[in-house]
Amino acid sequence: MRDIASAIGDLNAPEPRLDDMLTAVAEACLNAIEHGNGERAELPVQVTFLVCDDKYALRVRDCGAGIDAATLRPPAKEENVRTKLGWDNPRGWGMRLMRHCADSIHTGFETDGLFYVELQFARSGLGKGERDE
Amino acid sequence: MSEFHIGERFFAEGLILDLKGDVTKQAEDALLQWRKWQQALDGKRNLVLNFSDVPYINSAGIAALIRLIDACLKAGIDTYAFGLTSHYQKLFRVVGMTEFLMIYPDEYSLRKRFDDVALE
Repeated sequence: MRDIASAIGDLNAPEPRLDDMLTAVAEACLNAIEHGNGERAELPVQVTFLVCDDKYALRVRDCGAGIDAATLRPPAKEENVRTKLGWDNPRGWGMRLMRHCADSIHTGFETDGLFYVELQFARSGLGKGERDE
Repeated sequence: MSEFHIGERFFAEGLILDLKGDVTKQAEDALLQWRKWQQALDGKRNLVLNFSDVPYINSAGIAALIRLIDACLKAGIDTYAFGLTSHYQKLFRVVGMTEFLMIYPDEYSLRKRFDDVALE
């Protein structure tokens, strides 16, 4: 994460949404490690940082079978802390945080078979994360 | 990631937990020492989480915090927090944690709140 933060910090203009980007990519990496690679240490998780004129794209790749695109869409009723109180293990916040922090999320498979989740953040104007404030 | 540990400070109305380090899965065991803190509170009803020295919180850390808040709720303990960056205050709002965890900007404003209540 420090390397990613450093790469973003090397950009000429300070990025006000650095925290959103770091949270979203961290959660994507956690999912890649736990669900994509089944917590197998020998399997890689690759992160690529793309800088475009209008957006940043952070692509996280793993060796898993991928996820159903429907999981990217907000559910009809979002879960919150109240619904998970009393659970022995109240986890499952990663996708929610990614949806909130990133302007858009895309998934697919690379030509080498690796599954990817790509998080996009607008560079100019206000992205979704800021508009929600 | 930085190693996580918790300092404890007592005040008239309760206990402050000074969290230091990343709040992730590795912080889970430390955050769930509930019985020790309940005994330490000794009838007081306020547990305060100081996030001033917490640089990073992830979803696993949020889950651990929820378990702590749940234990407090069951015991009739109110939970408070201060020292959260605006980013993490936003994320706590997103997941609904602010319904159960009262967030203050800093320790001074939180202590003033307790002082004001004591005067009522």
